[in-house]
Amino acid sequence: MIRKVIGVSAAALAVFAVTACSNGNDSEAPTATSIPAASTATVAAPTATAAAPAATPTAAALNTPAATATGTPAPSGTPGAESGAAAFTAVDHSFAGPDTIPAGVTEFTLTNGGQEPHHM
Amino acid sequence: MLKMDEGKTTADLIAAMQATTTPEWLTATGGPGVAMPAGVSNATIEMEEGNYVLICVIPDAQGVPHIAKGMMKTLTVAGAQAEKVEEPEADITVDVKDFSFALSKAVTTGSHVFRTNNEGEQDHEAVLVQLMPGKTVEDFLGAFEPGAPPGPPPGVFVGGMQAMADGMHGYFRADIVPGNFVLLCFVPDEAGGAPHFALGMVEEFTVQ
Repeated sequence: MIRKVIGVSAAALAVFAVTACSNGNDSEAPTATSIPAASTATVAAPTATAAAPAATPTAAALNTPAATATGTPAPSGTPGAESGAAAFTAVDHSFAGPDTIPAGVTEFTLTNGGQEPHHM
Repeated sequence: MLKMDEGKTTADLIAAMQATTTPEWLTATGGPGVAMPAGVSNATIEMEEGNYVLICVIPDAQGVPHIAKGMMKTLTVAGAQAEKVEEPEADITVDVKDFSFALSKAVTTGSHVFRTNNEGEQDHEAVLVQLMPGKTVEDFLGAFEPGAPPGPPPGVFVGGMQAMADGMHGYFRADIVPGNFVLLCFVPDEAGGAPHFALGMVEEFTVQ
């Protein structure tokens, strides 16, 4: 399964030729050194296609109005989700947001505060 | 997002990555699609109790996925909501199969709630891209081919639903403007690894 999931990004994500930075907020999270880049790249790139374009496109590149995913940006210091909403912020390269939420239908919002594209 | 079976931790996930194994104790549950810098994406999913891990696997310029730079976070789902939240009402359904997309109706300008149903046997996602004027999905996907000219692909990611396991469903909202769009699935095929878009999971549509 992990190959499937992580492979999601392989091609897709080769799209995002971007730059790097520092670590996340999960004490169990791997670091660049804990996961060899070579093996990770193998997992993440099951196809031989992906050449990484040199830059990430922006809405301005469309030269026309851009569609947008909608959502309310995460307030800083979001303590948690109590009413079916959970707001997370992505930066380069970590997530911030609640550690625990109740079960049930939940709307997740991801606000990208970084310089690179992110998903969750 | 991934749900981990009871007793599993991100340490197991890391070990599995290093061993390039395919653990059955992970389930893709969907999640907010790609948010560009300063952007916001969203996904609405029914969450069961358990332990989850949020990950970003977008690679950097060197091809290193963000997860390898520490971009993961655990999330515990426990207890019940104080007041039960109902699923949103979608106005457009995206049925996802092996290997196609089917939209329930034409997409129009304005705010929409898309319901994504994975009716296939494999994990699938619905990545929504707005193409640059005059560009085709072939142009967009061609930007990923070996030897492609340097530069950004001719399109912008505008959200969607991340990979979810077969039988699952979820919702995402998007404000649609006139233009050319495409839904793509980049999940690699279980039998051979080709990205699903190469097997037909490409759905173009134009919004007037």
